[in-house]
Amino acid sequence: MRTSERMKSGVMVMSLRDRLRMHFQAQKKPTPASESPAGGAETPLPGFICREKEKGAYLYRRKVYPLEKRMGLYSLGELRGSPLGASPLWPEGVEERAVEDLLFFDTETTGLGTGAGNLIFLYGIGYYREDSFIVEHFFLPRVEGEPALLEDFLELVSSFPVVVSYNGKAFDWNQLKTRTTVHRLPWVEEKVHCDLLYPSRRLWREQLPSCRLQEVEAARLGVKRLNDVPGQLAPTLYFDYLKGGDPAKMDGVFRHNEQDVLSLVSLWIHLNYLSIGKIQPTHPAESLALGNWWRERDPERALARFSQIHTRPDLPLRYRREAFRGASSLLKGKGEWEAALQLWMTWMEEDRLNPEPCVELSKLFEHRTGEVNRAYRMAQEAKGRLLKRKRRGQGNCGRELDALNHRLRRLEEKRIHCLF
Amino acid sequence: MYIFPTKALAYDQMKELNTMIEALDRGIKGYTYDGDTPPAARQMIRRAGHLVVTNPDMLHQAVLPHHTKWVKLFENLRCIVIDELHAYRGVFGSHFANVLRRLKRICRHYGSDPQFIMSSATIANPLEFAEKLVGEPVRIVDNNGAPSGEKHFVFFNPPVANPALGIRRSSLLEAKTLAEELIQNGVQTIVFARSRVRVEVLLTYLQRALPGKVRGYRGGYLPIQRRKIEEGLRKGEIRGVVSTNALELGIDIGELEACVICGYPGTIASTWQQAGRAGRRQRASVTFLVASSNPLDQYVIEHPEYFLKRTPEHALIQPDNLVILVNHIKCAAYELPFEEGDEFGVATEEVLDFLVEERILHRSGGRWYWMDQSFPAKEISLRSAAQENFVIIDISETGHHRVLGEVDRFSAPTLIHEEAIYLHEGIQYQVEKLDYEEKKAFVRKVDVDYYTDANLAVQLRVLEMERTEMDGPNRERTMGEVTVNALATLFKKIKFGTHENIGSGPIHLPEEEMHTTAYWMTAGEEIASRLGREDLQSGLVGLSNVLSQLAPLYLMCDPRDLGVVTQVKATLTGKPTIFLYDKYPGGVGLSEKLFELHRELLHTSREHIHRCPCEEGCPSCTGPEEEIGRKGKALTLTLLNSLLEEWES
Repeated sequence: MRTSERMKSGVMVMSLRDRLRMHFQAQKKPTPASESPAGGAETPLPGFICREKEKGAYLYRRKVYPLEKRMGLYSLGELRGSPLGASPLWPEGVEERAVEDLLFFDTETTGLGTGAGNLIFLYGIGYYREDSFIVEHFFLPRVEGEPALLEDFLELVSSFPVVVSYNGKAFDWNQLKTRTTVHRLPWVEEKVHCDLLYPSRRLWREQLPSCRLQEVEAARLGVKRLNDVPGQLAPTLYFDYLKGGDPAKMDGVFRHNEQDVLSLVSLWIHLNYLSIGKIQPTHPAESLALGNWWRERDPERALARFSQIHTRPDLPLRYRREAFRGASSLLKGKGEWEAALQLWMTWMEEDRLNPEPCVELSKLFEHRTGEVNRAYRMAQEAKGRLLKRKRRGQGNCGRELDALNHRLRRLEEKRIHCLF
Repeated sequence: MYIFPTKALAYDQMKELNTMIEALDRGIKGYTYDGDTPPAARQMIRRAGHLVVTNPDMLHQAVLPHHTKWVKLFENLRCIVIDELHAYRGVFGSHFANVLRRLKRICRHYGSDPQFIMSSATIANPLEFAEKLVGEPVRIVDNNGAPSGEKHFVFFNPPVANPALGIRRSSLLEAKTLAEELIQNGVQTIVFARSRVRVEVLLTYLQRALPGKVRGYRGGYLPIQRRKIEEGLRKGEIRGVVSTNALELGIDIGELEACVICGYPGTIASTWQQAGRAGRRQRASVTFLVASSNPLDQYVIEHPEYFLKRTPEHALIQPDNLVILVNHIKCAAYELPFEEGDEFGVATEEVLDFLVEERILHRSGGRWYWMDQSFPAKEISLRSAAQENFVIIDISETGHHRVLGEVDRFSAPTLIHEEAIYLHEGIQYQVEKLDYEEKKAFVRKVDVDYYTDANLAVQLRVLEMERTEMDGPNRERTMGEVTVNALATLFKKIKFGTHENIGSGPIHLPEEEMHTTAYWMTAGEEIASRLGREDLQSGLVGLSNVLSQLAPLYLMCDPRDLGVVTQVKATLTGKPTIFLYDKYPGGVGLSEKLFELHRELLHTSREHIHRCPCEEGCPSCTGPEEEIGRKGKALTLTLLNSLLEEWES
């Protein structure tokens, strides 16, 4: 078979690697500047010690800060002495704890997803001990040390009944659970989890371009970060470090994470002061948010917040409208009908295109005071306002109109009955 | 865990399962888990599901990468049921086999070792196929105990309208006449057509003839609309339905009495499933298979025995296709790190080291870890032919741009070049702009009386030969890897009806390159010199047409899944050569199987050409005269005879 031999000599013989290159050539990434197979364990990082365990090794650092340390507007010591349960930051119905029970928690990961392949390479925590604030870092210089790190970290976490985080409910805490499950380690007992992202969103969603922690601390806590390494660069820096890149570059990631942990404390102090009225809101949206926040826990306090807004004719109508709405529905809920009546009347006067207060008044007259004629007039006023709004093309009010027509028909019948 | 190939099927089967669960009354909790499952229900399924019904895509993108949320399931998983096994062939099946490799890895991690239970339509290689898919020894159970009524199967070939050109009457019109007569006589009937467009055309004809009695059914109809039609069919209120293969798989529509299949569905398994929609249990039923003029249809219609005997169709997959394998190794590494000695398809360690070089994995302490910010499963679709698809965007309405569909990278130059007419659901769109970098085609609705046809210049180069065999004096065949370069050069505007060329234009797009597997055959030097260059060319083209059209008889694939190239004097061999290649990067095993079936394929082709009643070649065999020349049919046979000569003993 001469022919096939000749054919063979005309073709190259490819290794698997050649073939892989051929198929994936377009996706090849640029080669990094430094490339050495060694990981980082041999090159110690400043302040870190290596903890060698049965299941592997990891790096650990402990820093102690005096309570006088200032971070922007506040100092660390300010959190002590203010009872946790005094603000709605503390979940209702949960036994109050000491500040020493709080664990401030933030992580750095290799990606944003919540899947099993997203690794936490740096765990940052902070807590109060005696007359200082401790910041600890658990860092993975080699990936295989993760089980050892996790075991120690989980043991530490177990001694704290409360976790404080920023978006930890959806991300960091969840991801810690994922890592624990990947290694089939026992999960810690359920904890009280205070995620400061949610109250921050309530307060500042409207005013800040985003509710990222860095945005909030700069705008509200007076924190200025110098030479900060943005969080989204952390994965790349870590990948380079693993490949034997300059360990000094990781320092920026540690500083960033430490600042996040410290800002959590600042944020807690700020939110606490705002909620108990130790500092005053600077924007009507903040007052409204505080009012809504206090609604369930302390209606009086909530009413006070709302009245700060609806009593001020100089403020934009949309804030006042929400304050009227919030305050009147609170009064209604408490059964304070006289106060509610006054508020609805004022609201009707000052928010002339809005049918809402008229509908509420109509309900009050129909069901509470039995004044059918007044109720009917109010319902008609509401319908008039609604139709005006419709003519201006402000939204689709079909369902509201149906409900009002229904109310009017019923009231008409009642009026006829009253005549006889 | 129950796995069905589509969401619709899972939904339908869940309904049936629920009636059984209720009857058992043992507190069994069964749920479907797919893209439509609301987030609140998802949590409950993860915690409390005894029975999870899902599909491969969901496993691939949602369950496996988030396995830590499914601990309860994976710790206790006993059985994995895979229904409609034969649906997992080709690219989709090759992906699915890798998804199952990942699934088994996760089960091992959580300490379970589930048993696979599979069911398949009749194929030639169920055992081999199932074992390749799940990567484990499988035992076959093939005694069918289902009751079945009397079945009549009519092979219907539309009469020849022009004997010289070999043109037959339209299969569409013949199918319409048959269906109309059946429905008119009170026989509840289902009609299958091959494409969405043909469904719509048939439906229009039938609705015109029988107002209010016939409905359409295909992908693209809203789920609620579909449920209504299914119910109407079950209750017998709808007397006729025209469908694509959407109704072929197990959706419950009751027992119809007659089935008209317009055009051979492409595989015997599909044909039986479509025919099965009529008369499932006791009653007698009838199925008409109406052939179109393409070679595959004509072959089947002339060979009822091919159809009724043991099936020759092989379900083929290639789980170790490098492109597919590497992508799933990435997903697997994301899910759990690889350890030394772990096996995942071929040459696992080499692939892992390659991914380390690519800076996607990180090797440390004897393990390979995922070390990248991306989420690999999101970038890989189990169903698409190429890795990157072009998205087609309809810009007819300002401010209301919408995505019409997708086209794979290798088809893009001929289907969606600028000025191309793109057909979607019977509506014409013209491509206004093709953003090649962003992989987007912007189209606008038009109403024109032509379609476009692009010329594609294909070049093929052999990279590596794996096997060469010679089992006859002029019958040499080789299997190996090739590079195919395709360059779209120009397009023509072809008028509907008359098919005249009413204009043309250039296409300026970069050349597409694909590495894949191929098999090729060379003819002997003697026949080459006897025929001369021109005649040889027409013989090669004629034979390549027949081969590529008939190959699906054995492969359960679409003729479009195979590419064919002829070279009168191949660069490599210097001899006349026909190449058949897999149109998917890296190949999915089609040409590899053809290499084995070489002699059989040639015999089948010769017999098919002999039996075709045309004189000079026609679209049903070697291709029309315009393509292969006046003596094309005879030359093809001469070439075939030479290839089929045996050694003198």
